Amino acid sequence: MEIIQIVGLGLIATVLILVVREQKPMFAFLLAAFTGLFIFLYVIGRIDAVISMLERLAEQTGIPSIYLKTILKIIGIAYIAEFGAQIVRDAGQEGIASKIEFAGKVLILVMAVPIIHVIVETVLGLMPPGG
Amino acid sequence: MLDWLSGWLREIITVILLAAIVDLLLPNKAMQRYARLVVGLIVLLTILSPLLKVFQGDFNKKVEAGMNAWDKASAEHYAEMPTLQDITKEAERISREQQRQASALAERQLAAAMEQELDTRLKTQGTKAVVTLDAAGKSIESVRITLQPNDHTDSKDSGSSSSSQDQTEIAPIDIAVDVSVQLDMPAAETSDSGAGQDEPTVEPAVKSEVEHSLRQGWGVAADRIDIRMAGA
Repeated sequence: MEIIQIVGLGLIATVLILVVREQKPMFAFLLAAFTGLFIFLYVIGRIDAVISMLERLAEQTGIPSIYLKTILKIIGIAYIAEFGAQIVRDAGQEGIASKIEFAGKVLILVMAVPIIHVIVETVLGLMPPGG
Repeated sequence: MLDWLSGWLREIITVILLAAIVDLLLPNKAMQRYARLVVGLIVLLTILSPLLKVFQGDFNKKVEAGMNAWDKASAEHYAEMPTLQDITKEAERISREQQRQASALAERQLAAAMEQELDTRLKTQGTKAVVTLDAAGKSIESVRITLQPNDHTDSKDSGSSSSSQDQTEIAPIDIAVDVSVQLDMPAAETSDSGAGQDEPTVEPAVKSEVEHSLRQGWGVAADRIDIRMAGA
């Protein structure tokens, strides 16, 4: 039951942060960031199972590996951007957090560029020449 | 036909399944809109794939090339700082390369010096020496001397064509194996060819002279020297 451990860790961290915040707000923030990082790293290993399942699925049905790679990259970018933004938001910097999220969105959109390129080229190729 | 259809359908179903899982995995609503666009494009590409194949040939390669180009372009934007590990690795590589070049140079120079020395001692020309240093580049591992046989022919100018003929007939014999073989060989060959001194075997006197001079000059042990006559 890992969820109990994780929730327990979160509760303890919360209580400690509440105690420390009055005296040292700096340490409270550090504690929060560290707890978040720990939980993130702890759970990111579990995603491994899901990803390997996806890989097996893609391999069996023979879809091009580039699709799977793109999808995994999207998931990774989304998670990392989200995580960083939340830590920054905890520190009270709402503006920087929203910029981090914006960067994540842009990078996800960049993934789509080659696909859009191929689709547009095909549509243009469908047009009758000299029309 | 049915085979192709089932393959196509299977691809579509898999991609849609993947899309659903991605939707589940994504952290928040804001990201989901963008990720859905990309995943939707992938689904579109899969559905269109028969059409694309007709009009564009292998479009998968095109998509992959585009992705790689993007990756490369974005990687160039990073001001990449080499880590300490990279630097040490690079330094190791460079020093290995340097050592290799230095030992190659040393081998060449040693070989040139040996050739000159042997030429003056034996009063021959065109002696070839190949020196191999050991891995550390500290000592000589082996020396191969190839002697030109011309100086020991009595009729050098007149019988040069016939002597070269003889040399082509008799394969060059590696004499450095051991002494008893070397002593046996000339007798057997003179009876066969009757060519006298022309055959490409190393005379014991020459051999000992070469070994002596190499030992004196460079301290090479005799068992590391491989002497042969230039063959055909």
